[in-house]
Amino acid sequence: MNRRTLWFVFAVLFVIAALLDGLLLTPHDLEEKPWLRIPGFFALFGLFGGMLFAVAVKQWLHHLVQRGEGYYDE
Amino acid sequence: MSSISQLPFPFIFIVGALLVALAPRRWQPVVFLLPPVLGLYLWATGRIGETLNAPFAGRVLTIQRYDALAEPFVFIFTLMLVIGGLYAFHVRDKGEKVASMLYGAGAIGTALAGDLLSLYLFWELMAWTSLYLIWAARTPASRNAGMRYIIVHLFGGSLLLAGIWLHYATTGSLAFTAFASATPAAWLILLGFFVNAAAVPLHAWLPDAYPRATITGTVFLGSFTTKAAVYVVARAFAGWEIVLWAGVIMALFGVAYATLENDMRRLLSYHIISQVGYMLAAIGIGTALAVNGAVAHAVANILYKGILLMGAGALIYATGFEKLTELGGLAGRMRGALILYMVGALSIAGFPLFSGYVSKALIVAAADAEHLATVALLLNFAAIGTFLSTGLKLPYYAWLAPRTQPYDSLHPAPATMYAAMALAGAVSVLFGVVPTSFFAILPFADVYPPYGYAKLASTLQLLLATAVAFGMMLPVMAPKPGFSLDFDWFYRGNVAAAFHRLINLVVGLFDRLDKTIEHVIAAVLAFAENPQYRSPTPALQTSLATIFLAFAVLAVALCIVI
Repeated sequence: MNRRTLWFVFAVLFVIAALLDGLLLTPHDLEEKPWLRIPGFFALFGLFGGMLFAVAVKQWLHHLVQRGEGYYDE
Repeated sequence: MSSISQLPFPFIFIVGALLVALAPRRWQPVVFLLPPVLGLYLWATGRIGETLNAPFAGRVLTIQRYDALAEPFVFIFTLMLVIGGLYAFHVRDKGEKVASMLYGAGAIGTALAGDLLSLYLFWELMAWTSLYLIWAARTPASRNAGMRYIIVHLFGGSLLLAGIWLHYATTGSLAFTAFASATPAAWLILLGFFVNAAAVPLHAWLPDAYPRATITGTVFLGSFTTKAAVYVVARAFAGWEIVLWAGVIMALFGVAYATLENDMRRLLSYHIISQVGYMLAAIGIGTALAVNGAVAHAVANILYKGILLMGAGALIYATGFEKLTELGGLAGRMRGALILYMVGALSIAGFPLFSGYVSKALIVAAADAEHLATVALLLNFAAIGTFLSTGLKLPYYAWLAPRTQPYDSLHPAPATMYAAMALAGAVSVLFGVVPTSFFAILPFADVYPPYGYAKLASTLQLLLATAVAFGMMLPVMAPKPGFSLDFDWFYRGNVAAAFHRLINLVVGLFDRLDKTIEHVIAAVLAFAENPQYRSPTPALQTSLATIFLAFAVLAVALCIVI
C-alpha cells in the first residue's frame, strides 16, 4: 500500500468520524460531561491523543528508557 | 457421568497431564485435547460440582467452590486449553504438553479454590509449570529469563504465604473470601496477588519472560497467570481504591511501553499489563457492573490476546524473525494470519462487533455510573494507544510495510495454528455480535447495553481518528532497534551491579577485620608466652591469651565506669 493510498484511506476515515459526530448532537445515552459539548470531541481526542502518544512516547520516553539491544549482554 | 461431578474439576486436567505423559508420541496432541473438551462438556451440561470439601490436618478445606464468579474463569481457562492445544498440535515436546496441561490445572484450581491453602498450592503449581514453558525454548536467554521469572514468583508466593499465615493466626480461618478491612495480612496477600497480576512496579517479569518462551508456550502464559490473579483480586479486594488506581497506572504504563517496542511478543506482553490494568481498575470501582466488566474483559482478553500472540507466533514460525524491523512484506504471503490477527487487534482496540468492545463498554459505563470521569477519560486515552500499537503499528510493519530484503524461505505455519486462531476469533466475534451470550456467563445481572448509537458513534470516532493520527505520524511510529529499560533494571542492571559491589565491599571489610583480629590475637599470644617455658601447648597458650584479654576488657570497662 503506497503512501497516497494510505492518506486517502485515512482521509475517508476522518470524514466518517466527523459525520458520526452528528449522532452525538442529538439526545443520547452517554453520561453527561462538560467535554461532550465540544463538537467532535472524540474525533479530536483520538487524533490529538494518537499524535501525543506518538510524540510523547516515541520521542521523549524513547530517549529516556531506550538502550542498545544487547544492553544486558545475554 | 454424575460421579465425575464428585471429583474436583482440576483433577481432570492433572490426570490428563499424566495421560499425555504416558501416551505414545503421535497420539499426544489428541490426548491433550481430551480433558479440556470433557471439561467444556461438563461446564455446558452443568455437571461441575458446586462445593467439594476435603479433610486436612484436622481442618476441612474447600478445594472446590464453583459459583457465579468462578464460572466464567473456569470456562475460559478450559476453552483456552482447547485453543492452545490446537495451536500446539504440531509440537512433539512431551514436557511442554504436560507442563501446559498442569499450568491450566493450576489456573482452574485457583479459580475454584474456596480456601487459602488450596489457593496457594494451585498458585505455586502455576508458577513452576509456567517456568517449564519458558525454559522449553532452550536458549541461554530463556534460561536466564526463566530464572528471574521464578525468583520473582517465589517472592510473590512468599508474600502470599506470609499473608495467609498471618490471616490464619489472627482470625483462625482459612476461608478465601473478601477482605473487609486493610489488615497487614490483607496487604501481604494483595501484594502477592499484584506480583502475578503484573501490577506496576512488580510487572517487569512479564515482558522479560513471555517473549523468551516457546511460541506455543507464550499463548498459555498470556492466558493463565495474570487472569487467575484478576480473579483472586476480584474475589477478595473488589472496591479497594488502591486497586482502582493501580489499574489505571497499569493501563497507561503498559500501553506507553508497548508503543516503544520493536519485538512483537514484548509489545504484546506490555499490552497484557495494560489490559489487566483495565480489569483491576474495574475491580477497584467495585460495583456489580464494574466487576462484570472486569470479568468480561478477562474473558475477552484471553481470547483476543490469544489471537494476537498466536498471530505473532505464526509469523515467527514462518520467518524466524521476531522484530518488526526485520519483518514486512508479508500481506500477500500470509494473508490468513493477517486477517485472523486483525480480529484480535480490532477486539483489543474495542471496535464494535468484537468482544473487547462489549467488555470495555461495561468498564467505562461502570466508571461513568460512579462519576469517575477522570478514570473513564484515562482508560479511553489508553484505548487510543492500544489501537495505535496493536491495531495499526504491529500489523502495518509486520505485514504491510515493504521489506528491503526478500525472505530466504518461509516455513508455512500448520493449518492447526490457523484453526486455533479461527476458533478464538469466532468466540470473540460471537460475544461481540450477540452480547447477551456474553452477559450470560457473567457473575451479576447488572449489564450495560453496548450498542446505543451514541456509544457506537463515540467509539468509532475515537478509533477512526486514531487511525488518521497513525497515518499522519507514520515516520515517527516506525519501529527502531533497541531495548526498553524497565523496573527489572533494579535487579538486572547497574543497580544490581552496584549492589553486588556493595556486598563485595562489606565482605572485604569483614575479611580485613578478621585478619586484623587474627594479627591481634597472634600478637597477644606472643606477648602472653612464658619466656621461661618455651613450648606450651597451643591450648594452654590460647587460654592464657583469653585470660589476658578478659583482664584487659575488664580494666577498660572499669576505667569507663569510674
